[in-house]
Amino acid sequence: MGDPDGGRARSLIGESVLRLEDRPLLVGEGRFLADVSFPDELHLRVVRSDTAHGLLRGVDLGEVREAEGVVAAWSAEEVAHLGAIEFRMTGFDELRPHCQRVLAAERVRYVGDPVAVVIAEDAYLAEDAAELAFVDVEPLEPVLEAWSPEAIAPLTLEHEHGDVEAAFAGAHRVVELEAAVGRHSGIPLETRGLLARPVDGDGQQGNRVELYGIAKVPHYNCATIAAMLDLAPGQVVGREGHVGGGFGIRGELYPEDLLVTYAALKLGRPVKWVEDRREHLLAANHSRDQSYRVRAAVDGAGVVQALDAEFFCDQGGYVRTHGATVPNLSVALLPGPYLVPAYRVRGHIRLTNKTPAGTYRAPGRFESTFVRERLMDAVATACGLDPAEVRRRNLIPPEAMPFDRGVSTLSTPVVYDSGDYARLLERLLDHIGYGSLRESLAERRAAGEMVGLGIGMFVEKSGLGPFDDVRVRRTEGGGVEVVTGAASVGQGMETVIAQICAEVLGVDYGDVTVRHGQTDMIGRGMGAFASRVTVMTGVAVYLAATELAATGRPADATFNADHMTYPYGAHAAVVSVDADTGGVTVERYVVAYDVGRAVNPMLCEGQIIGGVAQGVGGALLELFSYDADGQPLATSFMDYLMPTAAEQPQVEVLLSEDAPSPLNPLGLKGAGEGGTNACGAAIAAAIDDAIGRPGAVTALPATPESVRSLIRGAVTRRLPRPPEVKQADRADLRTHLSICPRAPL
Amino acid sequence: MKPARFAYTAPDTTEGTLDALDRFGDEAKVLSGGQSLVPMMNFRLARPEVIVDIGRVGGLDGMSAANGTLTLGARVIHARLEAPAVTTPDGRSEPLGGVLGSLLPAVARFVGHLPIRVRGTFGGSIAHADPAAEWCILARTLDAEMVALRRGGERAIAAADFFETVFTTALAPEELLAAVRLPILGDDWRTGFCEFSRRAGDFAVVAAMTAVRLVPATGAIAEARIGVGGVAGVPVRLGGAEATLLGEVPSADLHAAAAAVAAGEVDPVGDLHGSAAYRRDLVRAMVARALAQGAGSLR
Ligand SMILES: Cc1cc2nc3c(=O)[nH]c(=O)nc-3n(C[C@H](O)[C@H](O)[C@H](O)COP(=O)(O)OP(=O)(O)OC[C@H]3O[C@@H](n4cnc5c(N)ncnc54)[C@H](O)[C@@H]3O)c2cc1C
Repeated sequence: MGDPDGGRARSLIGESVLRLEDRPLLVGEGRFLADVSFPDELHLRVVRSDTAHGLLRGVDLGEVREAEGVVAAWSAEEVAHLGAIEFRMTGFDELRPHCQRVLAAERVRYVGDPVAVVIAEDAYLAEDAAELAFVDVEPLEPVLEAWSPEAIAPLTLEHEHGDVEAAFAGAHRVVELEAAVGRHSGIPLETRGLLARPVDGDGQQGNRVELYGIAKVPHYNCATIAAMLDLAPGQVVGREGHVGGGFGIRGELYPEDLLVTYAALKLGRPVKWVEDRREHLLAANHSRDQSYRVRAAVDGAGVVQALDAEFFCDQGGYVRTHGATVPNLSVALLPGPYLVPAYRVRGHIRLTNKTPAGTYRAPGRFESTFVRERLMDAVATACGLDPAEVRRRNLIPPEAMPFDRGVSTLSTPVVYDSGDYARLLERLLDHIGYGSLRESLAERRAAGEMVGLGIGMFVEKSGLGPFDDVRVRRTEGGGVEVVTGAASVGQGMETVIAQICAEVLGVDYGDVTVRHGQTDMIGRGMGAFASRVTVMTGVAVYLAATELAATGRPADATFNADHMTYPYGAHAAVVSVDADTGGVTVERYVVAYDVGRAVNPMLCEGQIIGGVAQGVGGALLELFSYDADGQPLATSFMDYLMPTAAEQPQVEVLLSEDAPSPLNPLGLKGAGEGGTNACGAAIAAAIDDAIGRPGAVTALPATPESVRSLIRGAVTRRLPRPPEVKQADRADLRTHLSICPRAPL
Repeated sequence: MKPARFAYTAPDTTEGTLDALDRFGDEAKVLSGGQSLVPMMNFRLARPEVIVDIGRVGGLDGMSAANGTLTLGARVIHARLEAPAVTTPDGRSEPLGGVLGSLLPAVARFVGHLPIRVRGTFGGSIAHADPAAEWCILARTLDAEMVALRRGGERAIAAADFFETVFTTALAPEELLAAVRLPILGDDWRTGFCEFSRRAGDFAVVAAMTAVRLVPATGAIAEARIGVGGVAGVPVRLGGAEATLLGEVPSADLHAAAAAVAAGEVDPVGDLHGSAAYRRDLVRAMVARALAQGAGSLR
């Protein structure tokens, strides 16, 4: 392992030190968006469509403007010049016509689609006044299934390598299945929000605007807002505060961000918007919602020689900042840790009348892992092999590393940088005592219980580039200051960055102050997403601190990376099922995860355990469902069910460092998403085992009702056979992908 | 999620409360623990013009047992029923024993989460009349009596008449629910309570309470009550299933037979958390389990 500390006895890198972030939170100094206030601030309320699909005949704000405390009220006309919100990632021209404008004009496309804003003296008056808006919509039939022939079909992602046809022609057997993951998303406990405050700059009054509540990608968002408002990049300043959870969805650029900033500049007063929970469940990015049909060509030894997959991705009403990121990741990572010499996939992006979708922790992987691992279980059943054995036979061996998958994602070729997948699997199996555990579960089943074990394996991705900058200097009084364009979404990045810096400089990590998310402190920055910060910012700070140590002078460093790193993992779940109710209890949950090198094992474990909570939610509980009119049914925490402490299993984490990344001097890989990735897969397999019906669970979440009907012998078929899709404008994945087309590099 | 504008008054006395309710009529809403009303107001599903907060009114949170009746003041919080204690005529507090002394805590732990149980009240739950609320099921199963006060008057309303439909009771806008009277079940009663919810602390998808009185000499069932929630606009009693039990000695087969009748007797409507068929299926399971819990023989 690339050891920067040479002969030093004890390395800070690798120590589970306490989080620097915790003190302010524990002593009541947390400053989340809602905590920030300025005198004279105004409050914005969004008027949203309550029709899923319809022609917008007009928005009458007459009464609204007369209402007490109202300062301004606008519909699409007033903000038409702001345009539509562009892609931050994975943009395709075919998707561009479906970008969301800041306020809907002509047509509404989902319940929650913003149609007007009201700005008033306080949040109560704003909400009162917003009720007076008359939104004239002529309803149209909503489209609620991605495979519906009525769904707008802008783009199909395709990829093929190896001789798929030949593999199927010569297959010993072909194993097929259909499987689907329901619509759910990251639900940060701090809802979205923004406070825009005009300030003086360059000697001019109100020449700049500061944004509080900005998160995840502050530089990108500020630059994009500036461009959309016709301002110079430096005129919009990001002031990242504490952030109560990101998970992919928070911090993307949304219509509200533009509206709030525009309102503040137009009205010359601070304008604040704090999303309420109902809005959040209607308006912030949803995710998942992919339906697959897959088949495997299997040889006589149970080795998959080819994988042929088609899936539908329910994008909702618009394409937001992530462009085709999620289906693109599904395409790239569906084959996972297995050799799969030939692979063909078609991923259809479809627009429906639901909330627009984007990334959520392990985007495209929670879904594709579920499907792939269901397929491996089906192969095991078909071949009469043990599920662990079938995986062993298919895993990419360590000597094949680095392993070129022959596919790209996020503008980078997928080349697994390092890994010993079989070793990790054996570690997991040893830990749970695979053989004896299976026996004891069989005994319990013989005694009448419904209990079972499931495993799932996967390859994650992390450390997305292309760059990160860091500036390091010593401050008066013996401290060290690190300035970075990365962001904190609560994941502990300050601690990890401080650990790496302190390790190099030989100081206490508590003496290191990490400044992030302040766009006027550093020229550019990539923010925090895709499990990238520990790798990218971590290595950049390592380089800068090394230079500072050598020269004694403040140092800048940039770490560039055009490849991602690929951590990998294996999950095991033991569940018990209540035969009468279909209720599932996760009795035991184990995650083995190789992160190359753990800067702070405690934080890695925390990431994994939190990730499992979200994975368990997606596997068993969380679902954005809609009625036949496209009305969302899960619009509060009464109906959108996240696991509580009572449902969350005690997670056993086996953190491993077998395979440091060769792509960076510290060997780092990210730890953010491995806890979530295979939860659906492992829990589904465990339910099958418990109820004695291999392959029964093909849809998530596995609700008690669905499990009960499986116990009663029902067969589920998720996808009505869709018509064969003819796609005129097929896009070749490899030539089309562009990362951050508008990133301010 | 900010409530619409409302006026607020917090009388110190029952009389003051009744005056306020009389004056404002259906413009007013009583605020007790606020654990149902406040969320409804924040969603603007409830828009009372006047809130009459009864949190300062003395004398509404007593628990006493006399003449075969347990009287629970409307402001008794759920948490107190996890370890119920009654005030004796001479002012002492003593744990509530007997069948109710075990039943109430067994049910209370299913009501929401601790923070909700320390604010939310027994009377608030009854007045709110969620058809899956544990206390409403209990009130209906045990034939509780609701004591309603209005300016210059008092009446007792039987549970069968009290719950009208979802969130709707026989209470008039001018009336305050002051207390609920439960029959103290003798030691020859056996009770059970079982519910299925999606997560700990959620409202039940289906919940069932059973109470049977056994003839000491024979062990046969002399009286039977089965109440379920989550299957209709109000908690319902299942007369057919109750009848199957009468005169029989409890056994697994008998319970299964009664549960099957129970499942056939309900006519649920499905929602997000369970279709009609699934709820019917759950009725069978919950009734059978509740009966099994209460199957212990007499001492
Ligand atoms: C997250 C969550 C989970 C919950 N889970 C459960 C659960 O599992 N089971 C369950 O039963 N409940 C549950 N509840 C509801 C909780 O039990 C409430 O406390 C209860 O329903 C209402 O009692 P309250 O004292 O809070 O009444 P409030 O909310 O103050 O009032 C409710 C209604 O009753 C009326 N009212 C209250 N008191 C009187 C009175 N004395 N006279 C006349 N009218 C009156 C009010 O005007 C209002 O219409 C949950 C609540 C939450 C927030």
